[in-house]
Amino acid sequence: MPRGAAVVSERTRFFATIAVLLVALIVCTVLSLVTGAMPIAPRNVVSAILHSDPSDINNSVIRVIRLPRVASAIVVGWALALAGLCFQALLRNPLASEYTLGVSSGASLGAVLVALLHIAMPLATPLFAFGGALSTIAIVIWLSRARLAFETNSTILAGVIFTSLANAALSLILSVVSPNELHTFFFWFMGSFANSEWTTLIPVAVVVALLSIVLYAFAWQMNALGVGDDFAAQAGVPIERTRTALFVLASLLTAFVVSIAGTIGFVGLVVPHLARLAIGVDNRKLIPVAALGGAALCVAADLLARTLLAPNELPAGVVTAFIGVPVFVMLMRRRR
Amino acid sequence: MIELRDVSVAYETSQVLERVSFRVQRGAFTGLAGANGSGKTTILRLMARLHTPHTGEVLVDDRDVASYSRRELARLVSGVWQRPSLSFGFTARQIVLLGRTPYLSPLRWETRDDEAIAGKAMEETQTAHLASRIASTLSAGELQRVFIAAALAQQTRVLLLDEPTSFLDLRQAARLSALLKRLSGNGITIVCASHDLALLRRHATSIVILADRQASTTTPDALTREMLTRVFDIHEEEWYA
Repeated sequence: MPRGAAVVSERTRFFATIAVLLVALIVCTVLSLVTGAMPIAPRNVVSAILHSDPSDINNSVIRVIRLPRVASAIVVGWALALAGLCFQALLRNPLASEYTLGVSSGASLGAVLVALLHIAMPLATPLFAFGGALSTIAIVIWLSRARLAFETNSTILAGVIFTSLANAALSLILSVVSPNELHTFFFWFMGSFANSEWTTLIPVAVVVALLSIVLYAFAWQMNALGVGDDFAAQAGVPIERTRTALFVLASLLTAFVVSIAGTIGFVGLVVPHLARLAIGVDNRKLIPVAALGGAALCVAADLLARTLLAPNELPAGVVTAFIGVPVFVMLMRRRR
Repeated sequence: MIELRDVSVAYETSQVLERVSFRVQRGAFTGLAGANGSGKTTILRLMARLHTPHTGEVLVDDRDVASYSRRELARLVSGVWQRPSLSFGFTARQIVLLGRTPYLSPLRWETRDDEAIAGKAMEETQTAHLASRIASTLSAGELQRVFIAAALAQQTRVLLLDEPTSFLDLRQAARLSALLKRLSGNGITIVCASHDLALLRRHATSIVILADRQASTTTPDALTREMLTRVFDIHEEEWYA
């Protein structure tokens, strides 16, 4: 096959998209670091990153508050976009994501249980969030009665129903907890990067990095699955094993980031779709593009959440929902 | 090359195949004929291990298909199935390149050789000009040929075809027929399930007739009206209705 103009432009488009996303991510990151209740000059930001000086208030704001916050947004956006991509490949449905399938809400419920029951075990929050995520998948599959043949939209419908149920359960918890604890639980409900700390972020970042590498190893199988189970199986993909691995990977990615930022919706739905519009359907290219896109979107959403109604702060999940809902509606209309 | 030994398959309430045995010779073009629900597709799926028999064995190269890894089997047997999913915007070229899946791994992406093999398969199936078209925008005939190209890119000795001429107009069907003739001439073992008896009569070296959960092997010349009347349960007056 001649490696013609179309192939060259595919490659160029991929690298151009990566470059644009990197620039967007860097710009949003810099803006997030310099902007806030206390504006800090870029020079001071750089100096704070390079040298620790607890006596300098600017230095502390950058190192203790803004830097972990922006790093958290990067990790969360990266992971959610990959989880969404994974669910879409599994269900062969561009409307699938960890959010529309209710996996985020399930993970949040799991994490809320830890706070509600005052469980002090190490890693309790991510573990319970993972339990919540996997239980959700099981319930959604059972509700959709599709077992492992996820061709139809019934799985998405089951996910939407479960999300409503999980959100009702979270609302119920919000209405019975004491006013002192309200803020903690509200955080799981709407998602926010305000509570980011290095101690919880670093282990999650390491796990997300490892999971991303493992996911990348499945990129070609994800492509084959996109053309149907029969096609993929006869082309040499062990279907059951690959599906299970992708479900676990996507659930783990969701659970770990929910455990540090609560439910940030629509990132996993919108970003893979936009990435596909930009560079096509090859998952080997979609994985880096979606990951960077998710990171850029979350940093931008957090920046808007902090600045739109300053000095008041919106939950980042509210901002991603305001961006995500119109895009979701557009997708639904296109699929008709 | 391929052998079914005492194979029985049942779906929930109905038995589809009962102790079916037959052999497909290396390089042969074997047609599978029978009424709807007689088990044609089931037999193809058994050969590609997309379905497991309740009893009996399916052998490829004298080895039980269950003993192959998916990857090993995919280097021996490829198939073109009905109703592939086209949810995402895969191009024809991307689909054909996916035929190289059994030769790739996380550490071995497709090389120029793989692209050349895919390119040759597209030329052979007259689909090279469709390379950058989105698969869902192709006609049924074009799509059928793209999936045959993907199967050829898989470089297997066995090609399974499930109703390859359904939904094709006369011109597309003629093109496909010529392609099958070329492939069969190249020594590929073809097993083709089809209602298109003219196609089977033209190309097949042997025909497996499926009726009443049983299989019987015959020659294309034996596809007489008496036989079809019996196999498809057609009444005398219905031939002229």
